[in-house]
Amino acid sequence: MARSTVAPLFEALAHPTRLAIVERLLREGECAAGSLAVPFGIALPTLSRHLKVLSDAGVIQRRAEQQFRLYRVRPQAMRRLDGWFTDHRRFWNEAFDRLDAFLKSEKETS
Amino acid sequence: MPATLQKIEPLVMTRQFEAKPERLYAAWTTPALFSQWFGPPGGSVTRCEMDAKIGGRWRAEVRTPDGKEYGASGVFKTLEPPKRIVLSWIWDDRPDGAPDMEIAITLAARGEGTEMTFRQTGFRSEEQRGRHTQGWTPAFEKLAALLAA
Repeated sequence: MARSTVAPLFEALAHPTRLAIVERLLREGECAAGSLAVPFGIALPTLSRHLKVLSDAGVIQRRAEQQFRLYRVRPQAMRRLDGWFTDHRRFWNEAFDRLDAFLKSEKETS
Repeated sequence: MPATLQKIEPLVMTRQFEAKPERLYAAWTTPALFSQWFGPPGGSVTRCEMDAKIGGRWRAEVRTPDGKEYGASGVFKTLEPPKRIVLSWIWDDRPDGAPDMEIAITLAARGEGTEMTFRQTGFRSEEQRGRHTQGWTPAFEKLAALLAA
């Protein structure tokens, strides 16, 4: 997987408020901007900025419902992140297997 | 109907919102929007369906922050966008034989904002009416937050 596809996602998520927004959206499914401002105790302009960073990076998507803006997490973004971790977990698992085999062979030769 | 039923006053709450009546009307009659503000602080609406036409059914289910679940349903009786909504309100756990509750919402434009008059009837005790006041108060605060953006 190309590194450039996940870097913007990690970059957007690397902020406590934005990470909390995404966690809340994952839990609730879909939230209006006004509903998001309350639990985080932040002003609407600040919230709008965070939502824009997350939207621009492709972490979340927006839809209009009768003059209200509703936000949700883009499943593609979550899949991409999950793929990145899965790839690296495989790397470590294989590395640990090799380490295990190496330690065993060391033991046998000593 | 026992005589005591008629003695309980309706619950009337009036609130000012910084939004046009159209947005309030939508917040009451659109599942994706009603879900944003109904229920206790920190709670979430787990299911909401509304067939927003006269005689159409609605249903909402809520999970509280401490994991309790409850639901209510009813029928739309009056829909006059963006001025008036009347609906029946039946809690899932209401006792057998208890009458339907009714909610009437009146929306009046006040400058750039809206005055909402909420009127709920069908209470069986003052205590029950008091619990509803405590329930709607934080919900209307969430509604104000939803409308602010």
